[in-house]
Amino acid sequence: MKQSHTDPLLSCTDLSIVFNTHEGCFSAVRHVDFEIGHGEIVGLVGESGCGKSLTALSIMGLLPETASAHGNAIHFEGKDLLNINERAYQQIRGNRISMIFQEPMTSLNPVFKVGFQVREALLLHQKIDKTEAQTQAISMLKDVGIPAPEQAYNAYPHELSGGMRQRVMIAMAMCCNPKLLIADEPTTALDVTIQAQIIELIKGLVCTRNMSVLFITHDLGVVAEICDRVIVMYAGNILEEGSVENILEHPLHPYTQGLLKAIPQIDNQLDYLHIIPGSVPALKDLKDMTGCCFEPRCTNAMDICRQEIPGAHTPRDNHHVNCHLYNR
Amino acid sequence: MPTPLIRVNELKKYFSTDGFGLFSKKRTAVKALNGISFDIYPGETLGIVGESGCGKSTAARVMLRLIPATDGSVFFKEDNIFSLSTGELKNIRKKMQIIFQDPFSSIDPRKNIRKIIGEPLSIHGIGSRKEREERVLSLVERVGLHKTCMDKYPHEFSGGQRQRIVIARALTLNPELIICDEPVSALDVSIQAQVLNLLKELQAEFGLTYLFISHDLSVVKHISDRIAVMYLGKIVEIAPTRDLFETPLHPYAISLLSAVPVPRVNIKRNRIVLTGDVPDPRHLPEGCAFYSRCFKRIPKCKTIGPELLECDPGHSVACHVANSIKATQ
Repeated sequence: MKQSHTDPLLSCTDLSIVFNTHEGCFSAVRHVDFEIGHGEIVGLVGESGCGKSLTALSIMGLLPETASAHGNAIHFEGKDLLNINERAYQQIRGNRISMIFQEPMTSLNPVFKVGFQVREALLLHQKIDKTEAQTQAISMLKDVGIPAPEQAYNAYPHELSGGMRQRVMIAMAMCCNPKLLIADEPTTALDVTIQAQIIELIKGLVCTRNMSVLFITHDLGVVAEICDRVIVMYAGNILEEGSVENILEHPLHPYTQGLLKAIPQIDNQLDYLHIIPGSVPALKDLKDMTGCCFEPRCTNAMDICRQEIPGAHTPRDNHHVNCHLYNR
Repeated sequence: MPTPLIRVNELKKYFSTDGFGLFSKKRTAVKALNGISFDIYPGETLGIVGESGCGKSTAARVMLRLIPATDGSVFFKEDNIFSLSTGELKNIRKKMQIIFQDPFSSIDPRKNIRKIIGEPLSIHGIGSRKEREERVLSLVERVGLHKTCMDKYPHEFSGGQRQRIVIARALTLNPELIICDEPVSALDVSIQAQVLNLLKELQAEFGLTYLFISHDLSVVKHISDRIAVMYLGKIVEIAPTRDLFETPLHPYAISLLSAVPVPRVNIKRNRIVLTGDVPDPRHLPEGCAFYSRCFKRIPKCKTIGPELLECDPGHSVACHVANSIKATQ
């Protein structure tokens, strides 16, 4: 595991994302702190609606109009992404930080050829002409494991399978050699055998290109395959953060523990699965909560959990947990 | 051996893709189901796994005659479903229900829960108004919803709760068979466990038989007694759950099992990453459909498609090299 805590590639301090609606303001992400080191693959896990995609979009500066990011700073390569103008953002987006999305079917433009779409980012960010861009785009398509890249370059997205489209998305994201790749559920829409291929591909690219990845997923199995470090989110809060080994083998937060037990596992057989009672609270219910956001579903809830938001504890190296159980 | 509840025999379903162009000569058909046969015994859960487009959901729909079959037969006890009249079919459908994947599109947003769950009763004209009301209430409570939900509308519920409503609706008529078509894949992990447990409890309580379709092997393993693995419209392996996981014999099943991500760090696994994609179902190769991606292929596979043959009691596999794979295990 490569880590340099002294100078992380991206550091996000006290980030909140607020939606302005006619019913008032709702925080979908609340006071989130995290860092991504150089050459590191960080997993961001959580159930739908926990704010993981919003966190990613705020780094990209692509939040929907109704939402706004507040907080201290998002530091990336000496710039504070929360306080730069749109022009400066365009220099970074797709160039230094790029993103791949969940649905390879909908995130490619169906009316343009694949090559045109891959080339676009190169022409925008690098001072090269079209023929040079074409050569680079084709070699990028080759690097992401597309057989016959020249043919794929001249194909329309519908002519490719789901796995190939996701490879094209990765090629688009990678062609400017970004330092940070944000992958938002990149394998969720794919079949397991194709998912295995894409995971291998991303791991290989990280090795050869010295970039970092923020890997967003709800699948803890995928996390085990690819991540160095894991951040567990729930209802807009970070509950636990640590090395992949600590989180998956020795989870501390009751939510992480429950989640791991709730997954049917291939190597043991239980009659009934462990369940986490209840469901994720709605945003408007969260607003009135004074304590821990997981308290209503937690089997270890204490009085203090209803009253105070738990702070971060570090019971062991590379492992932080926000839970009152670890108050010392 | 008990008599099967369902017998599926050489079931085929082709979707025609021609007829758009006036001068088009090429007649191509997507062979969504290319001759599948299996039995389901009373009280068991048969799981079907496979990647998208392999024909799992088509099998479910054809078996209920929601879409017509191209060839083959499906027997529910003594009756061939495909030769029943509309009236007889309506009657037999009481015994066969289906739960769909997406609880957001499988219930009518304009009806309240009372109407949604009670609808099967009114369609079949069962019971008086009061009896129906009681039945619906008991179902609502059985699937873990509060009785105050009766007058609410679908949009007021979360995905997991909606799936409970769909399950209650499927139970209304006391069915014998429930086909579950990816019932938990749209749900979050913590909710998925709740619904899986509910399905298991209901099976024990009402003696239900399930056909459980999913792409998630860990889920299928958890709930099934036997599992059929499908690839491009064919069953390539069918076996009791334990046998399939301990001694998979078809190269596709082997690679599928090895590709399932497990949330453990310290487990070393012998991972087989398949190369290539699933072939276009419009142009299936003439031999084994898995030939292009197989890591055990022999020249014979390219020209001759293997038959599904029993190699152990209850464990059948469609592969020319299954015996040599078995010998090495």
